[in-house]
Amino acid sequence: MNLWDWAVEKISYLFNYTFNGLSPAHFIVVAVGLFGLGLFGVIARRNAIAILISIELMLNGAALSAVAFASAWGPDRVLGHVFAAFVITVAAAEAIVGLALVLNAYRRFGAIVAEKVNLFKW
Amino acid sequence: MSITLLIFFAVAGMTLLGGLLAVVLKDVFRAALGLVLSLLGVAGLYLMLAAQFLAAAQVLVYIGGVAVLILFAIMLTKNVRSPHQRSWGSSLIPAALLFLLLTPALAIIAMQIAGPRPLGLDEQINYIDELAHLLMQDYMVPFEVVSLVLLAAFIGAIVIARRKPEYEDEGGEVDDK
Repeated sequence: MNLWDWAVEKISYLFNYTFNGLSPAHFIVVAVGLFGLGLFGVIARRNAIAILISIELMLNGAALSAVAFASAWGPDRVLGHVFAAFVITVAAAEAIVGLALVLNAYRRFGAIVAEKVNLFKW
Repeated sequence: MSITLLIFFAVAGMTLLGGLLAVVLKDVFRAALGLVLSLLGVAGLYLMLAAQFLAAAQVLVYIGGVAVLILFAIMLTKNVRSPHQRSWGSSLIPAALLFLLLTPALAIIAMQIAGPRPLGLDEQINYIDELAHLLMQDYMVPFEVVSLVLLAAFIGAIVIARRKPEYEDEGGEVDDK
């Protein structure tokens, strides 16, 4: 038995514990996918606004996974909703400050390429 | 395959496709539109998890607020493309490797932690009521603190993004515009 079969066997049964055909594993896959895409964007993109967009993706993945985990683990299934509500609020604050910084950097450097903003480098 | 599962795959596919577009598209404006698609998909997933309030808040705050803010910022900062400007940094290959290795590992670990348990959703419970009780009783203090955080962020953003008044520019400094 090779590694692939072992992994498939270890994982696929998790998708069988369902409620209306859906299991927490379904949502966790989507949440982790969003987080990974955001992480890729944060590292690979150069445009500062694109980096902010990627950060929004990461925050969404985190909030979604919080709700999915909370609905899998009892007893209080709404705690994940509380956590996700706070994540949404903090993400809004982060977006506001980040875009203000981007605007200021654009005025100062005439570009929004992250590598050009090097005031703190020496 | 049940109809719920079909709807889930449609919404999840929309979410991940939007995220992919938001990350790989060269044009930042189109990337922001991909972000909107992804946020809408996440709102649909919240609905499937019986988090109706979160779905509404997601649409109001993210699509109505954050996405529009990002579109405004893109339009305010007209990106002047120089001929040798690349949209990908030198860290493209490490980032892709990290994505390909980390994402499956993280998904496997997270699914193992969640374990073999079904979604504990109960159609008899009104989750919005429960959420309101939690926010207004047990989590009252964080709820108020987060409003202060939001206020501080508003004021900070105004201070940062404000143009400097004219008299500050006359001091022989390099121009600040």
